[in-house]
Amino acid sequence: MSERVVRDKNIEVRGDETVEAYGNSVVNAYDNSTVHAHDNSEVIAHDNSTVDAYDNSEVIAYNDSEVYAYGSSTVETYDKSRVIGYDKSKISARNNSKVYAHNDCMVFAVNNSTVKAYGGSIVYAWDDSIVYAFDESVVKAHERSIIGNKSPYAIVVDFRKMKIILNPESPFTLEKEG
Amino acid sequence: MSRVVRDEITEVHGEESVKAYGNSTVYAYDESVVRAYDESVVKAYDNSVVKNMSPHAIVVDTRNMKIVLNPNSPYTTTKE
Repeated sequence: MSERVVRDKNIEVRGDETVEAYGNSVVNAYDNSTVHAHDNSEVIAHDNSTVDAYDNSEVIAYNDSEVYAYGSSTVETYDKSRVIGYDKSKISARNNSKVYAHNDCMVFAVNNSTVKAYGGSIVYAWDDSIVYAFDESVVKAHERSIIGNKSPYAIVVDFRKMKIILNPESPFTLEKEG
Repeated sequence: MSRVVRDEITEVHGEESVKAYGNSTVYAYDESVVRAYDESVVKAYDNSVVKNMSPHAIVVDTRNMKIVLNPNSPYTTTKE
């Protein structure tokens, strides 16, 4: 397994290679490769690639890729890819993607994606997506999404029925300003 | 002068003032002042002051365990 360090470069990485990308680099990753992205780097991940995204990096993940997002990174996933997001990362999950959102992430879930929301994460769900709300998360459910409120401190907003769905153990009450 | 955010996730600290539009998510701390428009979600901590300006915005008052809605909000609550 080889390792490369790049800075301000536009490169491709394939096979079992691992790349450390710094300083606005753009990396296209294929065939089980691994990328550690720093400093606003951009990664397009294909074919079971793995990406660790730090420091406002941007990732687009296809074909069963896996992304670990930290430091307010932005991730778009397609085709059964998986994202484990932390630290206010912004995640758009499409086409059967799976998301584990921790520490105040913001998630947009569409097309049969599945989301487990932890911490104070916020999820917007459309198109047959399935969302489980844990901890203090908030879920806004549109169209045909399916939602489960798994925590007394989580809040689910069902736009179809104009209802706020709380856990049976929830301490929250409703108040209208005015 | 307020900072304006749209479809963003952001924190507000100190005495800063923010107007949140679109699908924004705002975590309000300290003495900050936030106005929630459109479908934004605002979580209020510390001594922050949050005003719900839209029927579809959601304000979560974590100090008093209240969900604060606009007077014109169509939402009701259910426990399930």
